[in-house]
Amino acid sequence: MQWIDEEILAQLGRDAGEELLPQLVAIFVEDGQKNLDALVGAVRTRDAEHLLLLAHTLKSVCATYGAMCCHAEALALENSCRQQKWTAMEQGVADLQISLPASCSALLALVPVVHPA
Amino acid sequence: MEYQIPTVLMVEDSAPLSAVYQAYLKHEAVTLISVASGAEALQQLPLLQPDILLLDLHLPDMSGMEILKHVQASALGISTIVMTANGSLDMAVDAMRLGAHDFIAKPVDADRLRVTLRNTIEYRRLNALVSRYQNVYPRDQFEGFVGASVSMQEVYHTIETAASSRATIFITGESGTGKEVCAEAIHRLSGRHNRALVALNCAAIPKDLMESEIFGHVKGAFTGAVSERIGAAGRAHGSTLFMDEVCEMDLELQSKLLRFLQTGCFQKVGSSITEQVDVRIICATNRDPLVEVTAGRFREDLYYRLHVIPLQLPPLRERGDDVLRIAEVFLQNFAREEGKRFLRFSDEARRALLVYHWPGNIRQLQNAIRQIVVLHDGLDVTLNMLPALLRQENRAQQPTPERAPQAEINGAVVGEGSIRPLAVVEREAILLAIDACRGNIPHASRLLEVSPSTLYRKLQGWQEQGLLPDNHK
Repeated sequence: MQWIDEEILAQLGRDAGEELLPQLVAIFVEDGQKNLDALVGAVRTRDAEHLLLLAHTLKSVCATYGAMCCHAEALALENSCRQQKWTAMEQGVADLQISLPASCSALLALVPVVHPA
Repeated sequence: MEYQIPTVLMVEDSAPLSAVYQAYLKHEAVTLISVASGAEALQQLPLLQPDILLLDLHLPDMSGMEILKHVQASALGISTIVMTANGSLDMAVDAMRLGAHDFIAKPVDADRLRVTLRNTIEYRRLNALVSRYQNVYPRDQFEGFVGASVSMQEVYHTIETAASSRATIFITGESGTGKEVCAEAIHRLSGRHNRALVALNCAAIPKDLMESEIFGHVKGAFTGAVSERIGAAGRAHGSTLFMDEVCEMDLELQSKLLRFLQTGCFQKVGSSITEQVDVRIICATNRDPLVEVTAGRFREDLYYRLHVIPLQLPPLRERGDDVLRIAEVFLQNFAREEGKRFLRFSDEARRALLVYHWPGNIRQLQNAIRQIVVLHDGLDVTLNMLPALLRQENRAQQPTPERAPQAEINGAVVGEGSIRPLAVVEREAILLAIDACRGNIPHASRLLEVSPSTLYRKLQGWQEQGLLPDNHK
């Protein structure tokens, strides 16, 4: 599975500056974990409105960083939220629980994040 | 004009997106500040007073639309660029309707973001430039006035700068120069514009009723006062009271007006209850108020109380080409109203309009153009369509031919070029006679061997045509 569209990532590097790319990827990875926790929490509390907002934001974030698989799943989740289809919503979050960590790992492999000593 | 680096406030709740946008804009000449929630944005707006707001419409704590509404309602002068996902373009359209300057679809393209931001900065710069130049360069229309002459630019400037103040404005100018238009413009540009301007013509109201007109009366205050009435001062509470022809006011009432101006308090006729109001006063006269003070017809203390910001409206004859601009506006308006084809004035007609001295000012010009439009039709207004007075004065201004035949009248040599229309000569003779008789019309009529009613009728006619000098009104 290709988790990251490398052309989009390369474009992000050109637009934002190659020197900033590791920093941006670090923020994406950190935020990805927070997002995943929030998605799981929203499903548990059956907060469709919050889930919709999370899916909507995640959709844009993933498209910007080239995580296109996650982007497609976030889009599907957003639509399920709008249609109030709980089974689909639960499935959507379950899919993202796999694809989002995998995308983060793929990103880190492509753009190693240098943590300050 | 000193250039200031624009401040951009970005409202984006997603940390990865916020970081990307900041990276996209790192080389732009802006001060970029980022917040992650609607509450933070509302807190920062008055503190930062940003020039541009980069606003995500989907926020965790409130809709971006609410922030946009707040920005518009607060009139902070901020240009808002909204950011929204591709599937939410309806929202972007709604945002534009609410006053957003532009929108960007997510995922945000770096070049699009930079170009949109630069365009917005340029738009703001040009807007500021236009506003500045509007104050520096001549305007040919302003709040109901038409005219680009230097004297009118000064009038526009005074109106603009004095409108927001509470100070009393004393408008002077000949009849028909636009004193009421001026008062309306001041009121419209003031903070009191939400309430109606209350206008009172001191010359049109009988002396005995004037106090009641200004201050109101209680039931039974005088014969005919069958119910309580609120006067102009009461009606103008929180607004503006325009007192036209203020020099016509009776001396006794002038002292009551002075007390009202000093205290803001008055009593209705027949009442012992004092009322207080918040009223801004604009007054006007076609007389020279200082002459009226010197002649003892206008209280000096009232004059100084009213004469805080003087505003002199120039007569039309001193406004150069304005006469043509105003005539063209009247021509367009009246032709439309009357269903006529008129588009313009012929060169000869334009010259006649410029040459004529317009003693009745804009009101006379308005009547003249109305008369032309009602009585004639065509594309061009030609010289022969103009009222007789204008054509006569135009002819009188023609150069005198050399060695023109001369005649002797009453011992004075009269050349053809100095012959003036009979109507003009007659008017001058009558006005001179009235002056010589110190305004005593019956005596003047005896000396002129005409009946007094003839003189009154002629004076009334000239008054209506705006041909009467101020000292004969």
